[in-house]
Amino acid sequence: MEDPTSGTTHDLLLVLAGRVDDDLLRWARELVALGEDARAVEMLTASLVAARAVLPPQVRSALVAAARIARTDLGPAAALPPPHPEPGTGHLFTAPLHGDPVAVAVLEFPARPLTGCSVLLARRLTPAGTAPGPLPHPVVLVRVHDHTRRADVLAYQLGAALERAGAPASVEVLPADGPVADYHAAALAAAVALRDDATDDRPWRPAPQPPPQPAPPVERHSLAPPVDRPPRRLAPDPHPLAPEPPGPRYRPEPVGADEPRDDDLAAAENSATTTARLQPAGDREPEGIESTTARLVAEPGHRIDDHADEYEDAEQDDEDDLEDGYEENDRPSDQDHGDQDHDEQDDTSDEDDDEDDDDPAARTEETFPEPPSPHPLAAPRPLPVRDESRPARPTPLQSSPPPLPTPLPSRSNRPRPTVTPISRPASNPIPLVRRSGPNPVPRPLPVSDPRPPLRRVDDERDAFEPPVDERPEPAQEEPQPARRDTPAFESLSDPLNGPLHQPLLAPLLDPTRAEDDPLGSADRREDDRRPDDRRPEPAAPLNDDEWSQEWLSGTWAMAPSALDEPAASRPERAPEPEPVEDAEPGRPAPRPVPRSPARHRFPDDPSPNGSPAHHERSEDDGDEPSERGGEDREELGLRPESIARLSDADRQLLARLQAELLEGRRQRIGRHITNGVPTNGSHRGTPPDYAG
Amino acid sequence: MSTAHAASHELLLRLAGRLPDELLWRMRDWLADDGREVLASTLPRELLRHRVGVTDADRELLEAAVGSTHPLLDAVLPATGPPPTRAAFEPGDGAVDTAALAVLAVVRGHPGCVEVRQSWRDSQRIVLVLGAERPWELAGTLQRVMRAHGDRTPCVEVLPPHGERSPYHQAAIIGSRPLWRSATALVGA
Repeated sequence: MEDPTSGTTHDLLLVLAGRVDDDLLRWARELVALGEDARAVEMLTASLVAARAVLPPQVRSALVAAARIARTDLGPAAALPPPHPEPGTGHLFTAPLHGDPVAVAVLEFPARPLTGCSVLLARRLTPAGTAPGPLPHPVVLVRVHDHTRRADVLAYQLGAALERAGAPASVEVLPADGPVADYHAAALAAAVALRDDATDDRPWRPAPQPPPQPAPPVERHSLAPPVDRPPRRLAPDPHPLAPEPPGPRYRPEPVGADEPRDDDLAAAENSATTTARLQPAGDREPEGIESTTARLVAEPGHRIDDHADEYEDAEQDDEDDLEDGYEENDRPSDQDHGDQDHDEQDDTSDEDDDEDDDDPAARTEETFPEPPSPHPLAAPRPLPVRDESRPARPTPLQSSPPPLPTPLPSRSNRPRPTVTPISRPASNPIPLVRRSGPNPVPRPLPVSDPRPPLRRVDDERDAFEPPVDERPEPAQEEPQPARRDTPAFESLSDPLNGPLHQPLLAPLLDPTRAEDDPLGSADRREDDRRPDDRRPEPAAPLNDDEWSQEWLSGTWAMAPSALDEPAASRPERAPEPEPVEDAEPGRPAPRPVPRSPARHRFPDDPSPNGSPAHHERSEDDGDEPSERGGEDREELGLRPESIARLSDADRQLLARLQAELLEGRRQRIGRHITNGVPTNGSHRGTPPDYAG
Repeated sequence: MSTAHAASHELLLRLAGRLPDELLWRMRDWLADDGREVLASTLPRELLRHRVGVTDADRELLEAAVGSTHPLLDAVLPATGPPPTRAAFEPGDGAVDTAALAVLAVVRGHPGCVEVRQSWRDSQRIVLVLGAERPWELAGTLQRVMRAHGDRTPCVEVLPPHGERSPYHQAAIIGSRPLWRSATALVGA
């Protein structure tokens, strides 16, 4: 009754199968797939009106309603002859021969669009429409077990593929759960299953609905009885085409758990008879039917599977609940049917009762609207595939993680970010080691260059010292040369560098002079004053670089107590070999000297080469040993503040280190001097003079 | 009836090569099935859908076939003259298959037929029948015969024995081969 009218255009096309020529039906399906339902309805109506086709009441009413919606000018309500019920389809079908080209083309069709579908093929022996094509005409029957895809689109796609393959055929996409028209029932009875693997492969079937499986055969039996017209199907037969489509909608709900099971039992009985009939028709058919029934059962499971792990967890309970809900819905629907249409509804109700699967069929018909909502057109197709792939994915993921720990871990960012800094170098030996490798390597290299003397000393004094030694050493050696080497280090080491350097640019020149003239005349003068003058004097010139670094380093301050001792010892040592070395401790100044002149005093550079610089340096060289003590004293003067902070052991260590450093410097300086600038050589000559 | 049918038939002849074959054969089938009303309700919309322009002579036939009151009739595009055809016709090798035999069997029994010619437009068979009474009925019958033999879009052009023909039909006749010629026509000639 209302079903065909309210049904989709695809449902109308299913009902009109066998009533118009197959080419028109294929064309209409193409138009529907393209969204031109109005034109499809117009062409169908025109052909039926022109042929003055006599239609069953439901089909006629459905066509009239569709033509009204399509706003055609045909007026089928008046143009079509009055309806006349049909006892059943007059078409005959037979199984295709071996090697049917259509079967070959169907098997070559991509598997993805047909996932969750079972495809059957039959040959129709009777003409359809006023201008039929050659016979036997191939009819491909697609039973859709999951409602995630649009039946009209699938019909168009498969039909177009077959036509391109040179094996045109009619494609009828049927919901596996719903009732089937007599035309399709007859076709299914004679059809041969071509592709069942997709549905069989799904593991969900058995789990979700093993019990309902017996019911699906009942549906198939319902399909068969219309052919044979057994008692039960006789009821559906009187309104074969129309009642079925309308019935399923109402039926899905009546499929109640209890009733369907009872129905299943009765259906099983009927199925025995029907199966007996079906079996003679073809051995393959019953298998396909059973498989299809299983598929039917499985289909709801597919839908449910996504949502319903619950179903799997408590299948029976949930099913009972669902069935109860369906039963409640079904009962009112049955009542409604009885109120509205006695004959058809009775038939439908009988069918519903007989066919437990009808409930899923009703679901399917209802689900046609549903699929878009839960599974919009694009999504639905991939969903089954994804569902299949999902189980497959976990396995590859499990297998994959070992090879792909790094890419995959991206998902689990939390553990890695915490672990990564530590684990990555170890976990990713190749890339990270390379990265980390060069980094550590270059770092130790630059460090090692200045340190080698330190390490030599450290070797004796264990690992505890080196860290301490490293700090004081760079403070002594590095601050002067390193800062001048790279201003960036200066800024890093001295927070106050920025402001200090700018105003002290002029004083910087002074320290350079002092450096150029290694701790020059001023230092000599200072030597007498050493403790007193040195503090104020270096403050003026050293404020820029040395003071800030010394303050920051604190190592200079550390030494004083300890340095006093080495200082006492040093003067002893120094005078012997190291008047030259003392000139060397002036070296820390000379190293910066070339740099400082580069910056500030290019003119000064020639000057040191010049006589005045020589004079100063010669004087400085003579003062060098005293300067050493002065430096130490300066350090002493600075240190007392920091001395309190340091422990005695630290002080001792610092003192030792400094002493060693001084020795190392002397050696280096000596080397540098020999290899160094001629000016230094001239200086060498001077210091012995002073010493002497 | 006959006037409207004749006008419809002639109009459909003029539209050969201008409307898709799958649509044209179906309209001719409707007309042969006494579905002129159906044709009248669908033809204007199809002309608009396919942007087919009609000459003044075509419009007169259209009004005679559809009626002057159709709401979409005025919307049909005008044309100054019949468009030249782009189709290429070939006479074929002259072999007669079962479809041709069936066509001949029908034509021989139909009054007024003078000649049957066959041509090929690519892989599509073109059957040309010259002269026939109630040509729309003969065209419908031959189409169904052709479909029964596997021609899904039969192109059966039942033309008047004389008169001006469209460029499409002229090219088809030039590129055709005769299958049958009426003895009376030969005698008369």
